[in-house]
Amino acid sequence: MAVIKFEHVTKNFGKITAIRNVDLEIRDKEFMVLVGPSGCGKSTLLRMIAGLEEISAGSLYIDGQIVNDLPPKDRDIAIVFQNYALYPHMTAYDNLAFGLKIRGFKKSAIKEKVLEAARVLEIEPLLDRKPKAMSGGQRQRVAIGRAIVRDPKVFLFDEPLSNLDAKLRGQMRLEIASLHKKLQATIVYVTHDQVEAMTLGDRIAVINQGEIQQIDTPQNLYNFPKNRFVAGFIGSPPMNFIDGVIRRSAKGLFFEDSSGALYAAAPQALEAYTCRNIVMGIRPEHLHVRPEKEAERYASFNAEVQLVERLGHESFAFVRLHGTPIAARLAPEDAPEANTTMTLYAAIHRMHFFDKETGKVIA
Amino acid sequence: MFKKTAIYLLLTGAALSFLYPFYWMILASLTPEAQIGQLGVLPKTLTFDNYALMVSKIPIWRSLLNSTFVAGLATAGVLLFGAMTGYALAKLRFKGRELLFIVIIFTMTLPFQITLIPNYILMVKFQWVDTFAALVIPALNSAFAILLFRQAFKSIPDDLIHAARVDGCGELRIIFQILCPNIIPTIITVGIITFMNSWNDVLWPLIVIRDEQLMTMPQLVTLFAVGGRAEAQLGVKLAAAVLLALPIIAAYSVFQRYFIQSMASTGLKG
Repeated sequence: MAVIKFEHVTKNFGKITAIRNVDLEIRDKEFMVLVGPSGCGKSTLLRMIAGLEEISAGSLYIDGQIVNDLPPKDRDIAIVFQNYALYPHMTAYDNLAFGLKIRGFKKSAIKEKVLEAARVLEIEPLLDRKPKAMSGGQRQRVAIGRAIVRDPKVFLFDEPLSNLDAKLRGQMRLEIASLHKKLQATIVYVTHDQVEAMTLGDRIAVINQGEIQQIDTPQNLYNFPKNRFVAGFIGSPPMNFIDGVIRRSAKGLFFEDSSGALYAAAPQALEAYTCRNIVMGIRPEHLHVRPEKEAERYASFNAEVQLVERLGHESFAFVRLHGTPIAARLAPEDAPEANTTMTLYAAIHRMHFFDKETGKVIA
Repeated sequence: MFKKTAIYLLLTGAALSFLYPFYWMILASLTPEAQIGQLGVLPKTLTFDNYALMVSKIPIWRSLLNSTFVAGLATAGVLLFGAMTGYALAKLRFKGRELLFIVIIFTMTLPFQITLIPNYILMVKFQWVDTFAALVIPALNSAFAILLFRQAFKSIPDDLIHAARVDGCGELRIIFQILCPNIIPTIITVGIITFMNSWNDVLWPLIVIRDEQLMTMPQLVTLFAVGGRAEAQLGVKLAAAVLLALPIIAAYSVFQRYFIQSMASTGLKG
């Protein structure tokens, strides 16, 4: 199908730089998810691939060919928009057929392709309807149909599920995943929803303020975030961050939080950070009410319980360690009562350490 | 119930006060000249003599054709170029776009009389005086149409245009095949207003057209009514006025639903 390559790509809107010197290679048949907070530039990157945004500097390649100045229609791509962008005055059939008509396909070929796409997406009964007579989910299916009917090299999805309700979103997520398997196409998918990113992507590019923070598989992003932004963005509730200092004792290096209530052995790699302020990160699921495994080491601390959320299969305890907010994911039977004090055990080997100034991971 | 009846009575009264002059005009044009002075609400004698006399005195059918031709071309031009300009100002990104729009809007604030002489000098220089070009070409676009089209296009999401671009559409196809079918009320409003303005225009044709064979209907009727050729016969003048008003009344009756819809959606007063 297609390889997409960004080489030192920058995009300016007047004096504002939306994309800053991005290098990114999306492999053939890969499902690449671009994820980041609102306004981070992920949709701009996608629209650059589509040719809907000009590139201020750098080069964009599709299958080895520079496409900076190639108009969208000549790029052999299809895009599914967040608000569907179906032509309101056309029926679903005409919406699907329109791109083929413009490309000069014969009527019989158009009909065959449209019906095939409709069959795959189970939208045959909708073909005579105009968009306003369809539900959000049906419209999104037709929008996806419009993309697959052209059999393009690259599929682009711009937050396609964000207008759907939670149940439908889950269902459509599965369908998009199975569509990728069926079509074996290169897909670039933009979302701010990390569940979509984690479940759909072969790889994920995390973007913030126009810069790529990290590109990796979902599991690696979760286990080995390269900086504090990625660590905080991937995971829900997000990773807890605790300010502190690296100190040295007879037993070796250790981390002491700024309130002096938490001590944890620190890896030797932090030698250079002795007596310097750093940030320790630990995920809510790596905090426990008792040591889980005997072989592992834990750092315990007392915290005031502010709020408890019981979700049935698990509970979240929101506590404070001398003013620092901390979330812990606990088994339902371990959930404490609000306005009490509890002892939490942090798994030491699950701790991440970040440079306080740069935010980069240091151990 | 009483309140509702009172409102309806008031509205009916207002509607009648607007309709009565038209009714009287039509009735008087069908009444013999001598009886117009005693005309009541109902006709006594009906005759087409006034119409026959008018037709024999001036080339009214020729002027009707001229008016239709001029107003039709001007309307088509305004719809075509107004849509294109409105689209560019609403959806294309280029330097000076907002300034250009402000300048265009500013031209709406200038009374026609101010630009009359410079425009006439242009027509003389182009040697368009006494040709249809003088009537049609300056009327092919209008600030008002640009404003309405711009507002209508602005309300359409950009992604619709992006989708069309990815589907392979060029700018013209985007305007006329994708966007225009979604702003029908605006197109009809611009169409009616442009047609009406062009149809009713007297001053400009009076200045640039002298050949009777090229005159538009309102110009001819005005010259006929106030120029002495009607020989002070009210019935004949009114017959000409009825013929003048009929096409506009007919067009408005057919399209009034869209017209009101568009007025409501653009927040524009007629």
